[in-house]
Amino acid sequence: MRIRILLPALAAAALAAAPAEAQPFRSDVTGPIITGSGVAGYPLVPIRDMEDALFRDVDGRTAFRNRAVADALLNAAAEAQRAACSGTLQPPRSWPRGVQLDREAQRIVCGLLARGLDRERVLNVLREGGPGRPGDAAERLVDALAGLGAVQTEFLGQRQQFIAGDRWQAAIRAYEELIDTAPDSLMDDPPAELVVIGVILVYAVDAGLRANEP
Amino acid sequence: MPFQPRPIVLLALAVLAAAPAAAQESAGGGPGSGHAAPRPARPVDECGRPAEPRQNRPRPQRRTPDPRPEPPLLGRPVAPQPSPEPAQPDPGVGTPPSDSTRPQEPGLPPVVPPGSPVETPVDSGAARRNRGLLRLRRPDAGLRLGPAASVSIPTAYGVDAGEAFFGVAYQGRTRYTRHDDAAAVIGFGIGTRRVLALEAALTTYSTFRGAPLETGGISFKLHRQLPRQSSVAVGWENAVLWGNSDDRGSLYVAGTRLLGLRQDPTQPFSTAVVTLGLGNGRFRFERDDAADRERINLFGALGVRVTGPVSLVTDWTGQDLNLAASITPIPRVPLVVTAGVADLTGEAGDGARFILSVGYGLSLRQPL
Repeated sequence: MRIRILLPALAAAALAAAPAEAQPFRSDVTGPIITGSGVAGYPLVPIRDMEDALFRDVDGRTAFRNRAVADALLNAAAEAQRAACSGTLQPPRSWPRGVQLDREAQRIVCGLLARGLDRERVLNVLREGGPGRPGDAAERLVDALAGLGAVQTEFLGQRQQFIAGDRWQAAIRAYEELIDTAPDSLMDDPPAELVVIGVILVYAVDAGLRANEP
Repeated sequence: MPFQPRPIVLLALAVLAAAPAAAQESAGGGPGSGHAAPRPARPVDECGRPAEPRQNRPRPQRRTPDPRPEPPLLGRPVAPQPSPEPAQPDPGVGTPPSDSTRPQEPGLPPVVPPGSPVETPVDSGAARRNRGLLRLRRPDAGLRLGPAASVSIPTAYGVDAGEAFFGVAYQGRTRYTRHDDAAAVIGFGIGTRRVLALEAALTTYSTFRGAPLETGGISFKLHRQLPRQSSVAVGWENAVLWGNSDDRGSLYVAGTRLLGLRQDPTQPFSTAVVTLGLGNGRFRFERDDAADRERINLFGALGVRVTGPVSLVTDWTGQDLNLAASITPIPRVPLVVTAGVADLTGEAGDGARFILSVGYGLSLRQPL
């Protein structure tokens, strides 16, 4: 009698378990991806982060990431400034052929970088002749660039191994913000001064980024 | 062996053949990025000609494109303004005296006096192109890591020559059991993703109940980077298996694209990674898998970068809906920790299960 009860019970239990038995178990592939680089996120498709490549925080101040970056960026900027001062600044090779840089604009930007001259004039151009807002990107850019080429090297860190980069960071931030937020009326035919500033920054930033690559 | 890869192999070959062979846009880059990234196309006007200065454009009248377009000039000429103090370049940097009376360069447009009533419509296309040209170069390699872009499915991104990875994965319990399980993987790449790269991964399964590599598999993924931070891949998971693995291998094709949701990548919700793919094997519906029907099924994933080091990821494996959070906890250290829940809906299995993985990416070429 017990067997007659037990057998159906066992059969019922087996049937109840059957769906699980029939299902694909696949324990090896039903967890996190473990058959490729997905387990490591997407580390090889990096996120844009120019500032992280060029700068670092040192005791609450912004410094160039390392000496190589500082040397490369500052040397490239000085070279570009010299070219602008002599009216021979050329656009980067990667730019479309035929782009010409206005010599007068080069002279004006040279004066701004070297001595902070023509500050209001450049600011007026970047604001398209409008009043602008105090502290807007155009003003911050001009403020950061004024006399930037004559700034004395300041060392940071306990061993004085880092070079201060506050002004350069401010200039790059303001420039990027201006490029991104300027009205189309300014950017569809950008003023020559802005183009010259952009060329100088492109040379400087490119050199700094290259120095950060092994 | 019920494994019949023919349909998906044909699909894979079609995907690879369709991939453009043009120069690839760098992974990190905007329009001004990277040595390998092409600069944006030269500014052109509405007729497709190289852009001329505004003063030379008889807008809105359209003209027939010239067979020999003039060189474009980016930047308006400087309008003479009365300046109380003429700018003197720093003599210390070798500045020649300025010559404001110098004639204009050939090809330069005429100087427009200030206040000139030249009203022209704004060319948004030219503005966008000029923005792209004037943006500073973005680094194109390994300067910050991204957390995971998928939980259980392969993305089309992969490693190439000089890059490697390793990681471990854990399931609180495996499907239809109360037993936990773990696995480990190590992999590397060859070739270059800008043309074609192969990722190979060696996985050891069931590490809690067996010796390392007692049960394991080798997986391959051919992948190629495409413009706009996207990639396509063809893969064969567990192409080689040994031991007591309960998997039988899966072929797939996948496409992945990184979408920039915000201009500033440090802002919350700045990027998202979308993956779509087709595969057989483990990507089939559970009923097809159980009945051993050779089918191809759709899988996909969406990873949204919530903050710089944190992403939320959901994916559909073809059987399970998974949800996880991923983090790169240490800045500039390529360590990725992903924790989540598998089979969230109980669609294929007996309820949600906790899953966890830890991975580490290496690059011998670039500092990650």
